[in-house]
Amino acid sequence: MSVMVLQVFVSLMLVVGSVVLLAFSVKSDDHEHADRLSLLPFEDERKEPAPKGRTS
Amino acid sequence: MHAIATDIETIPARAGRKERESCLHCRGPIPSGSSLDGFCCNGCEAVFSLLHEQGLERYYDLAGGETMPVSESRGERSFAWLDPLLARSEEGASAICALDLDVQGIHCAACVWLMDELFRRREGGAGLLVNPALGKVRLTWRRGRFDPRAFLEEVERFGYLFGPSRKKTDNASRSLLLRLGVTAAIAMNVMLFSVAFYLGLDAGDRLFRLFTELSVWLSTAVVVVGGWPFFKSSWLSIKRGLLHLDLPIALGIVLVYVTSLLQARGDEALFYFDTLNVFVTLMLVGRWLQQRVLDHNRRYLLEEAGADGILVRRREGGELVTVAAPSIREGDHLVAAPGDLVPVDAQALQAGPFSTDWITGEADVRDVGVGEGVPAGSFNAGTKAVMLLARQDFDESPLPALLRTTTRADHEERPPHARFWDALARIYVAAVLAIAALGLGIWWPVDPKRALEVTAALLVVTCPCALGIAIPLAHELAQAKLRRAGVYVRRQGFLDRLPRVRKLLFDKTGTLTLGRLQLVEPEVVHSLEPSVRDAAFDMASRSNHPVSRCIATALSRAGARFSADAAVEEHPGMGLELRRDGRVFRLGKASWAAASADDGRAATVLSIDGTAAAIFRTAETVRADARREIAELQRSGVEVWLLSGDASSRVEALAERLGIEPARALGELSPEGKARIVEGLDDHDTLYLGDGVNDSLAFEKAACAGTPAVDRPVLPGKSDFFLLGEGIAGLREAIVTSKRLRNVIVRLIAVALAYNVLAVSVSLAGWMTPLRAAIVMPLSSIAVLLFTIFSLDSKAREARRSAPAAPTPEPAR
Repeated sequence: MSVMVLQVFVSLMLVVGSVVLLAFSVKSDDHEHADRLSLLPFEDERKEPAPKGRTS
Repeated sequence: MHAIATDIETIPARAGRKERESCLHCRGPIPSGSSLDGFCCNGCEAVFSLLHEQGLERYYDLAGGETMPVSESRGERSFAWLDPLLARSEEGASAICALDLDVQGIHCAACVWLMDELFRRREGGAGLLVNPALGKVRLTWRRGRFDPRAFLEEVERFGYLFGPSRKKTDNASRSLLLRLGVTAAIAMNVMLFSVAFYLGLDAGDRLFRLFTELSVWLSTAVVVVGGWPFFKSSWLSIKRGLLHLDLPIALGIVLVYVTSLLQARGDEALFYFDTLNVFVTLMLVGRWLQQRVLDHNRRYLLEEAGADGILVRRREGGELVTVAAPSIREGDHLVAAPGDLVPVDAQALQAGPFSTDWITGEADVRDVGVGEGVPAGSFNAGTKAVMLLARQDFDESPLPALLRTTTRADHEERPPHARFWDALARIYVAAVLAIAALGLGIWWPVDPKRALEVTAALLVVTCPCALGIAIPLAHELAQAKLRRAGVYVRRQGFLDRLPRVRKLLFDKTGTLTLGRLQLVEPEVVHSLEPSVRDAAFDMASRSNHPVSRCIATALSRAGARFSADAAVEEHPGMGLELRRDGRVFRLGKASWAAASADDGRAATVLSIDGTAAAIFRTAETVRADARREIAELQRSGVEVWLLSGDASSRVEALAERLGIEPARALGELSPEGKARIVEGLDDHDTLYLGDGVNDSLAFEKAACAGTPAVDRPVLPGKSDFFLLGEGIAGLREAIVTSKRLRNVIVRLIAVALAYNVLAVSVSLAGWMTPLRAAIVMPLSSIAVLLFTIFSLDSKAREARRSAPAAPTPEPAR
């Protein structure tokens, strides 16, 4: 019985946690690209950037 | 004053050139008949080349196919708005300066990477924070060590446009997503409690009470948080004397909640909290889907600020001050930099070329001499700033009337599609209440307790799932499909109005034509010696005149090389001159460059030491697929009209080439004249496509209005949709899709009706239980969702089709 109550409590805390994280992401306006943006620095650099511009 | 004349002539498409059907840059469809090889428009081609030139191909990996078409640059763009912002940023003594800006054209993480990469390559930058969801940028740099203007100009070459920070976070959208998050999280927990009830949790168990109370409290939170948007819009609609579609949804939520609350007092788990939670969540998902694409499309563009957003440089004593257009007074000395808009009628104190297509619809650039007039609404089309004397106050200029932002809704009766939804909502509400009363009336004499159970079941099964989730999903799918075809919907209700469209009215310059020129004989550039070609390119590429840009593009494609140190001299109103290796090259008017080549037909001549080396004849570029699309539209029963401010002879010539009836091609129209014609024709069935501020009044009179000119002020903010890319096939696609959407919605309503008749019969018979409702309701929702997806999703449709492609071009994925 007490285990069940504890589980319900934990489950509700997880709900609260996920809602808080969502609110933070929505407030920062990055919820649509959060995954991509957060992983961007870890992407493999396959190419060295070429020297800037060229004329002639 | 004179104009450089150009013939209206469709350049014949190079047959057999098109090897790809989708654009190498944006993967969008290439307009039928396009002369571009592998690209849907010049903008995409330019950005594709630039990305490869600068080693930025990784952009495509990161974009993952989400790239959008790029609006083609019209030459120099005004940065008058930037001066006061930069001055303010650099006011303080801090070593770090900061600037907040809006960006147009940003759409995914790849754009963020691209801007970061360009920023990283420059010295002196402190930080760049890009917000792709809102389309905003915060730029910080070390004072004196970074040139923000040069950075912004470089980024704009990739198709983005910067503007002052005006976009605001849409609190309604944010709140909707948060409400959805809260509701979904709670709904999952309530469903878990309900599983215990369905598996036979004993009423005597302490957990029964705990789970019941938790269900009550959590469901109360869901009703308050998730139901609020529906309660609010229902209340507002009732106050206005209308019945919004949210009313049946709000009514369903309240009635199911109240009956479940009453049932929860008993010892049996005969409540519908799980179903209620799922229902509210699904309704919010539907609302969010409906909002999402519109928000994306709106944020894609810069925000419009009307007359106050037009900034002008004015001489005040010895200083040049940037002021808002409304403060311009007669007698002010103005300086129009390249790309700047002239907001009042003015007198030129220096000679220079001006483009008037935005205000008059004339395709040509006018070379204005000293003392001549420059009409309000002109843009400086040259590469040098021009001094002007204002001849009137801004209030007396024609611009304020054209810039005002009224919407059709302000002055029109309720359109037919809205009346249909009003009627549907009214019938739905009345039917639900009547059915609930019927259930209560039938069962009350038998057993009052059972009567309440039956009534609760009836209210649950009649919840309008189809209206709340399937119809928004259908709109979302249709809008996503149109995005792939280059049509971006900005306003709610556009797709509802579109199926009624029977009259399509086009402006000419910049709408059916591309607002740029093309060589009539492109082979001329190939016949030139390489050294002459390079000299011509050195001259043409240094001018912003449309003819020069056209010649420079052709020479560049022919392999001409650019020399950074070439000393090119510009002779206003005449042309360009370059002295190289003892020879004098001239590119300009025949009478000036090589008098012997002046045959009276306006053309641009390239001469060497006064002898003509090449004659470049130019023509306005008509959109590649315009003729075919207009023919298809007319075949499908749509009346096509051409309304322009340009000379009637040009309008008639274009109409003849495009197969538009002469009686429906009207030229020399004022903005008011266009508006009068649209008003006379409109029976909730007109669609106006225009690009200039002279189309602004006509926009307000048409049932639907759109623009391809997303880089010009005013019209994008007034339009229901905007077009990207060089074709107009998206218009026909939009009409076809809107009709398909309407059919799908009608079928959805029929399916919902059939389901309700069945479910109501079962409930009236007393066979519906909470468990059965918990199974049947999600199943019915999933069924209508699948039906919607299969009816509208182009992938699914293509999979089902084994026949060859239909005449309507399907956008490439």
